[in-house]
Amino acid sequence: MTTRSPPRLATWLLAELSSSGRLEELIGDLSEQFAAGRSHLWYWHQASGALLLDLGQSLRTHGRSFLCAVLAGYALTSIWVFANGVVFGPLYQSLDASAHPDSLMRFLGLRAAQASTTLLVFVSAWLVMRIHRAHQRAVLVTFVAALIAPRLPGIAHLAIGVLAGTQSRSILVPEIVRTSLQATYTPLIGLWLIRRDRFAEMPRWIRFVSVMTVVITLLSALLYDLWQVGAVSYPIPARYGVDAADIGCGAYLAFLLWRRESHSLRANSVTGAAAAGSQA
Amino acid sequence: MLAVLRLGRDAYGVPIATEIADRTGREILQGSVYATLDRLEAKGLVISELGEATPQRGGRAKRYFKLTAEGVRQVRQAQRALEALWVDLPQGAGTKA
Repeated sequence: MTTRSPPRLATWLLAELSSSGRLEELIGDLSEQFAAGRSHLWYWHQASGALLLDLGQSLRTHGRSFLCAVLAGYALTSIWVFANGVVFGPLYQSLDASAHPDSLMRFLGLRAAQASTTLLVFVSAWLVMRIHRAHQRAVLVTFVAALIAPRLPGIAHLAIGVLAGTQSRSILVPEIVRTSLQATYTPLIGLWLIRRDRFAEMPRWIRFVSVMTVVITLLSALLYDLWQVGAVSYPIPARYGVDAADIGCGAYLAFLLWRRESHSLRANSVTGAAAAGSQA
Repeated sequence: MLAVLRLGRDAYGVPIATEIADRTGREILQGSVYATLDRLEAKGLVISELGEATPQRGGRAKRYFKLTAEGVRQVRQAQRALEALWVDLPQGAGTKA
């Protein structure tokens, strides 16, 4: 006898987004009823209802700390970006991709600015997840959405300008790259911070992708800074290619770490439930 | 709790939801069954244990629930309270004049 498979997307959403401790049993119940003849619509209704119940429960229990975490991360980022603008603004304004006698100092200044930005991402992701520990992935995603959302109207405006021929692509693409890098690397670093196993204990593939991501990120930043101080020529197609590889690698590593976190949470929930069952 | 009590050894998510739907005439969310049972378990009114997995469930185990002695006591107490509230209620009370 063959068993009807329940809608995969609904099951996946439930498995990834729900923080219920009875997730496996719930999906099992829904699958059993679906196999007995319930409709796709019924399954989606049950899955979305379970997620809404879960969200309501989480907001009632943890809403305040969730909001505090996102606001604290946002405030820290805003202050840091403002301070960076004050400190490194003159340096950025003086860059014109041509060689100067003080190129080395400029390059070191750019490296310092990059280090400051990297430190900001680490500190803000750590702070957000420290304040709200109950749903670390959810708070991380919300924090990133809060950082990215204000930039989207500007990007849309630039994109419309490019389509209408009133704006240059050379303004739009760096803005998209900056936003994509932030949208990728903030959750990536957050997921890296909450990982449950050490680097040496991770699967070989994740370790390989991690090393590749770090290498590409460093290479991309170095090349860009060297080009900005006029030390190397860095044609636009090569720049776009390296940026795309940087974003793609980071996004793929974030996906791998997210999935790994889901699996370990599920394993913990099953082990915890089994332990509770045996105690009962 | 009454649904768990009625179902006895068969009290897991699906029959509990079906029992409530059949008795009340209202379809309920499967997720709300677990949300309620989780709260009851935290209060020590029910206990649960993992059961068998079936292919229809995608290989996922069932979780069976059972009332504790305290749970049964509270159900009886609620029943007595409800019955007491009905005593001496005039015929037709609550209907429009």
